[in-house]
Amino acid sequence: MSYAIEVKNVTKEFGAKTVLNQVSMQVKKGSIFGFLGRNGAGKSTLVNIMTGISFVTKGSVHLLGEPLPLSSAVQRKIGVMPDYSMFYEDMTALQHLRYFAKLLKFEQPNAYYMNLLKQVGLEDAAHVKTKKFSFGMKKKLGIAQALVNAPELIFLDEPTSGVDADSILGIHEIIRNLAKKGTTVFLTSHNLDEVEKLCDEVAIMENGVVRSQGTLEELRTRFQPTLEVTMKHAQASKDSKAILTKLIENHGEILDSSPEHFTFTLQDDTMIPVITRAFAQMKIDVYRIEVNEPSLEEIFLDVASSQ
Amino acid sequence: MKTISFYEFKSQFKSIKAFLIIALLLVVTLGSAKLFQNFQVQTAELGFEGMYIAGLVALLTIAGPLFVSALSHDSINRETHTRTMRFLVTKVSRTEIVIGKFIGMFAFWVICLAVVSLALIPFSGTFYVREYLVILLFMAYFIGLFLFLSTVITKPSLSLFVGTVLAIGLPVIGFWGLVDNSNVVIRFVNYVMPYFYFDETTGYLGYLVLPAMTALFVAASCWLVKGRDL
Repeated sequence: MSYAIEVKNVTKEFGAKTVLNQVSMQVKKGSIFGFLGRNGAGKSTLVNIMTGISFVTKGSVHLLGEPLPLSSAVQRKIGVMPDYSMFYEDMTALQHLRYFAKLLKFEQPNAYYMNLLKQVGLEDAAHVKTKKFSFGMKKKLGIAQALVNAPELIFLDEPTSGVDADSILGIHEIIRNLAKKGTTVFLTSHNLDEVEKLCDEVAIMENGVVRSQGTLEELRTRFQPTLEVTMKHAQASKDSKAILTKLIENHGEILDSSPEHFTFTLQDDTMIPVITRAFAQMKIDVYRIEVNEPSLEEIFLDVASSQ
Repeated sequence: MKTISFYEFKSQFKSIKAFLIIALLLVVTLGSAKLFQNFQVQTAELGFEGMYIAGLVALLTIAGPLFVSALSHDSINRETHTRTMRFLVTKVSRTEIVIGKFIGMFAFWVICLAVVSLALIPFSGTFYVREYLVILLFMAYFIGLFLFLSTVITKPSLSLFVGTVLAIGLPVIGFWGLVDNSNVVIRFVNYVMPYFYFDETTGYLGYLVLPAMTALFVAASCWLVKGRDL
């Protein structure tokens, strides 16, 4: 397996305070990786270490196969949007992109930069000095500058916080397009809904430790090993209902029922066809089956509360 | 590094301070040159060939550190304070940033002093190459010193204060050491000051020592910036 990011046993101490404690994680190339945690969990510290803003106390980080500190060649393949984007106040948005591209030895014609600004919704502000930019506009420019070198790996630290709803959709579209082109996206966010929509894999950090990492499916299985199923059906007789109740209780636990519905838990979805066949044999029409999976928010709260 | 240098070079010209300094340099240099022109015969008889540039040399020897401090005291800590440094370190190496900034600031003085020296030619009929190079070495020393200061002190307001104190204090100590070498402390401090190497008795030693000390300041700045969380 080829990884874009490999973090091994990273510890970060500020004096006597341990902010990151033996953190390890891997991010597959070409994936969108969501990094979650409460404020002060250590997310930004880890991102700062990975992007060369801070240093590890112990442990190692490899980006695109190379250990930190990176060579210029690998550094030029990485885009970074730090958590707090501040710009040179006397420079315009376009001048910033030109300057950063020049630093990365990735100079392009003006149309290229204008296209980037258009993607983030800043085309009208291309020639405006950043001292006149709002917080949201700075965020957008932060994303544009991270994209300026068409990176293979991009770090986006809270890219949509403080950004208007319309622009958020545009940013999500940019992230999806990046992944389609094979760019690895490391996304830090407080917006669980955003992470759930966009990310292939997620890590949850709490108190400087990665508590859980995996695909959403894996996390769901790990933190809520049962499925919650609701079946809405035609009215059943008392006898039929008793038979069905017994059948369901053999495989799970009934949470709620009425003559027209059952809500129950199952260990996995293999028993659903067995139950629906029983309904069919008793000639009771099933109108709807809802399988409720835990949301990322529920998983996140579960992880946080389990500590 | 070239990009950082060029940006720093350009940003030196952006402040009103830079224009005031250039204007002052021109007024003092051309004013003193005009004054010396009135005593052309006398100065030639006394063998003072470099009189036309004396005004510039005197001004920079006294106020040069103050000029450099005004323009460069926050070259590194300003970027750290405003967090623009975070963009830079994710794109180029920290050593490139520090050396690039030094080159940019030095280039500013190379151009400024060249313009002022060229403006003297109508009076002197010559370009004072030796004096020009000596002044540049002197200025490079202070650029290195204030670059180092801006890495040691993380707050721009504090580096402005310390820089101003140093810019006033160092020339005083430097000249004191030249006229009175009885004080052991002053004599020792003078060995690391550029004024000591302007003394004729040190010969060409200054040409070696000043660049070496400048390099030391830049290297120390690189070392500090390389090991620091931003």
